Amino acid sequence: MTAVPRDQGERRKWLDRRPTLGSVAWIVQRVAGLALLVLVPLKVLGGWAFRQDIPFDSFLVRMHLNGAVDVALITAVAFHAVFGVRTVLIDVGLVRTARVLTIPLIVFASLVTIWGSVIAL
Amino acid sequence: MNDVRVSVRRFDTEAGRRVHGYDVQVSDTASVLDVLRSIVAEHDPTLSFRSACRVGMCGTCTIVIDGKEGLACQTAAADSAGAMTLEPLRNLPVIKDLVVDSSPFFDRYRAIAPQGTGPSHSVETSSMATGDCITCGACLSACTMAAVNKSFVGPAALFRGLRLVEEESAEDAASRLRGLADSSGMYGCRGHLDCVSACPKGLPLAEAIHKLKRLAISRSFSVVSS
Amino acid sequence: MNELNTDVLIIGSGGAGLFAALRASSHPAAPEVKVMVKGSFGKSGCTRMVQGGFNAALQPDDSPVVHLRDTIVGGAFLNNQELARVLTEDARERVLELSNELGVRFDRDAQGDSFDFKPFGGMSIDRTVHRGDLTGIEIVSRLADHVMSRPNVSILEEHRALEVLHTPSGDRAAGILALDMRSGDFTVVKARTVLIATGGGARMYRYSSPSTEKSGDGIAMAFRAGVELMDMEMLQFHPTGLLAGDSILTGSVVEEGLRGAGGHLRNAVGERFMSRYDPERMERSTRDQVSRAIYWEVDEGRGTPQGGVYLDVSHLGADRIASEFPGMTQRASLAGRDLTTEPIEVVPTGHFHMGGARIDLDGNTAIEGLWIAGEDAGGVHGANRLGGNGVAESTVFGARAGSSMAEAVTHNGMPEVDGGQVGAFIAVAERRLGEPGKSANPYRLRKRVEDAMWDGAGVIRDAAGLGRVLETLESVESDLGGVQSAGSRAYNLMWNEALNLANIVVVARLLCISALARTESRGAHFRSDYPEQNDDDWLRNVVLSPRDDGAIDTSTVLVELTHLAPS
Repeated sequence: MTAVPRDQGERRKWLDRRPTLGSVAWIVQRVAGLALLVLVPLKVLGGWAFRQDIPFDSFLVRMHLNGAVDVALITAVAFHAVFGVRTVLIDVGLVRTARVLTIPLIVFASLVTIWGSVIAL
Repeated sequence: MNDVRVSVRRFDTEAGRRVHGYDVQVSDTASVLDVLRSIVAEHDPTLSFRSACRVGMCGTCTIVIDGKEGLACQTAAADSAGAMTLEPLRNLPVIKDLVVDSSPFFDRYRAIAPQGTGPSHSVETSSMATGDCITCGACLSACTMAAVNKSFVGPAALFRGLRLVEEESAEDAASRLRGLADSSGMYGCRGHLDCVSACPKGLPLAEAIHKLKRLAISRSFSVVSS
Repeated sequence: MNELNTDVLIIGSGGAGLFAALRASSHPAAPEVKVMVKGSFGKSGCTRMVQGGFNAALQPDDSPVVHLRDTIVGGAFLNNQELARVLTEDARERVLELSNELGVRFDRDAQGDSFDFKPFGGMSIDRTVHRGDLTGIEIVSRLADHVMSRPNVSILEEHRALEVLHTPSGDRAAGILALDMRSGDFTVVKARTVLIATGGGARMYRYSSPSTEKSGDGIAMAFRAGVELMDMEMLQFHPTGLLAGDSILTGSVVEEGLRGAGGHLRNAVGERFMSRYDPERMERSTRDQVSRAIYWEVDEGRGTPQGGVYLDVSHLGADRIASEFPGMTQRASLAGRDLTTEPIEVVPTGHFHMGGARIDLDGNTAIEGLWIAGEDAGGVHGANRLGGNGVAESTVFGARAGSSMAEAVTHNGMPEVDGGQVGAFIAVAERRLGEPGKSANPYRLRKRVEDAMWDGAGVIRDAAGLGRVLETLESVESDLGGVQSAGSRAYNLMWNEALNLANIVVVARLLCISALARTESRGAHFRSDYPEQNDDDWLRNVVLSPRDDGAIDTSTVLVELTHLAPS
């Protein structure tokens, strides 16, 4: 039982950690969720500022009318939603359904994002 | 006969890490294991790999073939369409070439006390849990959670855990569920489903982990209220 | 070189090794147990590959006496009847222990109370306990889980045992010299008790079914250590090994269940040829009969392109095949065939070695401190093993050896090894590492042995053919002296193949010598120059004894018909 040197170096760990469909879906959903924490209040407050339900603020109004913010918001909503559906399917045990639907859901979210971006920009 | 260009990710303590290419001729029915045996017997006897039963029962020849975990003996060489890439399993230290140290896999598996102790107490037998895991390590290799969380016991251990929970007495099962109900156990799984794609036996690993989570909740309520 | 010592040293982690480890480690004195495995723990070997099941006389209308009768009749009365009796009695306890204490889940009948006993060849009452058709994986996995949980058991993985070591006075076994494959260093393990349970090795033939790491290490080591062997000519061929082209899959077993379910065997001209050999039972005849029939069909020119015969189950219905035999369907597809719609090609394949070391009822050999159990031991099955009795043998005798060894530890001191012997053995092993400039390729040499054994010491034998095999073995052994060198010592597969071949040559030679000695046909051993079974002269076992000068003494000993005699 001699100690035999092993390849455990840093690059080996980097080889092991790789993006897979499932891990990317998980990360995108969480990142999109965090983005929504910022983007949704921004959009809602901006709308209120625009209608002067809250005191007028030119920054908030500019953000509300900004096309790029809309694109970011639509992207975040679309992908957070479809990956959320995937997560719910897994959590209730419909694993095969979740796997089968993963690509179609990504396609759907992409189409929604493109459609929304065209309108917003 | 088929010509295959094989790239093998090799490692040993003297030459370090490198990728080695071989041009190999194998029969139409050859498996990836046949390719490896052909390389050692006829081309490069310094290549190291493992195998035993060659009929998919022992789980010894598990490697990464064209980016995906699989049993070398059960994977047709023809599936690589002439260009094959072979790598050792992930998440496990490499001893030499395609030979990995499987003790991190078995340490996790044994950490859940996998030895069953007696006849089944279960009335209902879940077909899910009676699948035959051959402890090949493919699931741990593919698991992107295991890559970052070294204390996560992994899909194979949890799969075994479910079968034990279903077989054991109510008290033993409840205590086992409590033991698995943290981030080293069932809650270390985030549903990436990489294990499900990798399992060469097609075992319902993610469903089993899901069932553990369900049981942990339902049984802990009944234990609390009793 | 590393040195270790232990109380109980077990070589092998199949049914025998694992059960021995369980028994020995649970002895009240809690001895230290080391399990040494050539490959991966709980994964190598053939117990794991068992598909049939485990025979045990547990049905209410069954009894060990009936099981014993079936076993002795199946063994053509060559069995050691006391060993066979122990097999049939203890098998029941082992099955109950596996099921009730070790977490093994066997299939139950429709009511769920009793085991599902399936019918199997040679059993007058259904007594084969099983789990689907993957009994071996379940048994070995559960045993391995338990063995690994014992605090007084440690595992030496990928350590191949090279030789049995004696004390300087030579009065008893003192341990094992092993090669740590991962580093290429030698390890001496001193032990108060040693068990050899490496699982024999029918892998000496062009077509063979066992796990590929097997190379007769246990039998070769035992013989070199001075242990007597018996029935070495008795090697069982499973009639249907898969022909899968030039692939290591060729030779793997196509399970008997396919014939049991009604599969047909046909030669190249489309004839169900079993009608000429056993018209009553046809394809469900005994393994040795079917093997010979196939061999003769091919020998007489009616073989398929790959040199076998056709096995066809397509008439049973695609759905039934796919649902009852998913493993075989998958295996056939790797061989390029669709089992549900077309025939596959099969050929007899070297499967199990009935012969082996002479032991007593607890696995003791004549050498103090050395036990042998499982396929490495001889006598239990006589001239032919019945399906389902193999895993029974390994677990029964592994358990008995384990208990016996743990008892012996309480009064055996830790032995000293003979340093000179260690040095000599290391020199021999080092030579197999090869030298630059030498060119013999052990893989190609092995193929020569496998082809020669198939042609001359296979299903059908005769004196001239056996003589030719012995000549080939001499020639290969001398070529083995000039093996090409390949890379470093660490995990050197070519070095290990040379070590494998050295042992295969030894076991093959012993088989041929024994086959030459038995001038009759019985069970798995068929001599075309002596085709009849001769009970008058040959109710005897052929015994091979090693002499100090390296020669092999051949003798025979009468079978003691303590329970049953041929009528």
